[in-house]
Amino acid sequence: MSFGKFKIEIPALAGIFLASVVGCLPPNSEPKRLGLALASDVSIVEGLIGARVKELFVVIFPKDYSVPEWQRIFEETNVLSRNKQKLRAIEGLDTPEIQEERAVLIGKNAEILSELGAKSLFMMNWSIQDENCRISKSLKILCRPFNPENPMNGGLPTNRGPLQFIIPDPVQSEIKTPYLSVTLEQLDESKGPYFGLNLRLKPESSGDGFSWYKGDVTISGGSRFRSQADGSEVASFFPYGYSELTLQTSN
Amino acid sequence: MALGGVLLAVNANAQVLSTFVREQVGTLPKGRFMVSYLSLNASIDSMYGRDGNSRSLSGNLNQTITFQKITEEDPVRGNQLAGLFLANGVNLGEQAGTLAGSIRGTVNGKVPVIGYGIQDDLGLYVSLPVLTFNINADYRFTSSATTNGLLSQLSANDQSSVASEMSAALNSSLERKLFTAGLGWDPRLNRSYFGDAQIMLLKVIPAKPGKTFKQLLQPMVVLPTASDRDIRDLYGLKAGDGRFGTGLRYAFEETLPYRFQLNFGVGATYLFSSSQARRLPRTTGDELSELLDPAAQVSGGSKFQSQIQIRYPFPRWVGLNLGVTWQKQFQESLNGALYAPEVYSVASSRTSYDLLSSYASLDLNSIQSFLEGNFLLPAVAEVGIGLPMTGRNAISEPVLQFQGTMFF
Repeated sequence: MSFGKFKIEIPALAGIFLASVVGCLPPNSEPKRLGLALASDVSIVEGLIGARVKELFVVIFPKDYSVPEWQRIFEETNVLSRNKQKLRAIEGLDTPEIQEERAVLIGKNAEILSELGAKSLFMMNWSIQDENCRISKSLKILCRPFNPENPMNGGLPTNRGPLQFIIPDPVQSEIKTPYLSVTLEQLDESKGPYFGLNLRLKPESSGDGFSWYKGDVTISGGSRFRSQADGSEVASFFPYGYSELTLQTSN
Repeated sequence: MALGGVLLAVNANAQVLSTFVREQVGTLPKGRFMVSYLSLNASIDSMYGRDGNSRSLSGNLNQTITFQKITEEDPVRGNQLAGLFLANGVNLGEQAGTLAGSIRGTVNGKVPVIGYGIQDDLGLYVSLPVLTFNINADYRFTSSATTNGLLSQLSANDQSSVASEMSAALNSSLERKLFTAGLGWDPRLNRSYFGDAQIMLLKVIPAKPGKTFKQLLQPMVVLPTASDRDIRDLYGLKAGDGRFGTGLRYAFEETLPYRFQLNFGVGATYLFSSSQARRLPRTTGDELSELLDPAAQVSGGSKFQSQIQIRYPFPRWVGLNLGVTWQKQFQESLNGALYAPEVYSVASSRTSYDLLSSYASLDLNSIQSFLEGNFLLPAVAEVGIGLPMTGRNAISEPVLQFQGTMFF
């Protein structure tokens, strides 16, 4: 897959993958659709009504990656994260040296993203520029794409909704800390094979007008993805994906 | 009239403790009933391990957790986790932390026995032990410096949510592991369990004229009324075997000079083979039996008990008893198709136990006074203490016993 069409300024990609694995300590043999909730905090998700989706990123990997392959992926994402921090640190500065440094960092990130993309089975990214998604009053993510042909829209799967903010029991749930539950389903066969994704997004940070979530993705049984390599349909995949969501909570 | 030997049921099949039975050869007169109630109390803070050394029961759950162990326990994400740790400069052999804590508690046994005299030398007795375990467990995960460094690194790398999730996962790891394994973890357990019921016949062979040597034969049947899965799986404690069994006991009593009495008893019980749900350790080094075989084949099992006692009856009311008891269960064989033969082999090697203990008790009886018309009911009360001496797979704490028996 080429990353020529991919926006490397995507903030979501800066620290990918880590969140998808550590929640599993100690282990589970199979992914769960949802952790057993102690409670569901409705007030938090109601506070998100009207928020725009600045970025929603999902990546699914092939099955049976070896330890060195995973190690390489995490090492690349660590570099990506550090580069992003450097870019943040020089934001607003505009000397020739900094312009050059920024260009170098962006170029390195593009290479890393390209390599990561090649290692993925499925990758989608909704951006505020192309997909125009917003959280509706019914607590669903509704999109009115500016660019329906965006190759990174993943077929624009439907958000089943409503969004839920789950406060799990850390003992009985696979996930230990509170998370935002988002369910996406690809039901339109004209856009690709069926898949169902449950995003379990934990609050990472928030700032002036944005909220940033990270987490893992569990995949519904019967899901199929179109191979990045040759376009064939693949029904075998690593059962945990990775996702990030950045919401713009004010205009 | 005397009551003899019937309470061997207490320690025949339940948790192996330094319980004892005041040896006395005798049974009920024809047509008479008796009701007896035994209460025993003991701490379960420590027990003899398989090596014979007394240690805290807490040791079952204490463990050092390495990053390698974390990856090995997850069949789906093991490779991914290993990749994550390695990418962040963590050697998989390093400690992620330690899990340590304490298990303290008590066991309280109540053993009612009902007896009936079929003939003057033949009695029928039924007992059903009830054991109440009160356990307080307190465990904590202490992160290693490597883990703290990893968490700091993640936080500094725009991964605060990941660090929080990992920290929470490690801190709840023991409870989570026990929960997913279906081990019914209750850190404040206070629960009662039936032991195995026993039906016994007591046949007294009286002393020959001019002699004082009396003998007793006691055939018995064990009924599988015990249900103790949770404490058996998690702590290695048990209320019974939950299997049919049959056994025979022999005892004699001889009067010695200066009113001393010598009592000796020896008994064996055979427990029939059975299909039972059993927990199995993964390896020899795994103290927690985590793997569940809902239908493991348990071979027949043999138990052996013997006891010798010196009794000194003071005139009319009081008797002093000193004795030594030995209990042993021979190794059983566990088999099944769910796991590798080695897993069953490790579990089998842990099925044997033995315990040598001594005891001292004082009994007060009103029987002579009743026969003389000075007491309303014939009754016996006894208080005593059992002291563990050596053993394997048995509680190494003293046992305090009270017993009251009334005859009708």
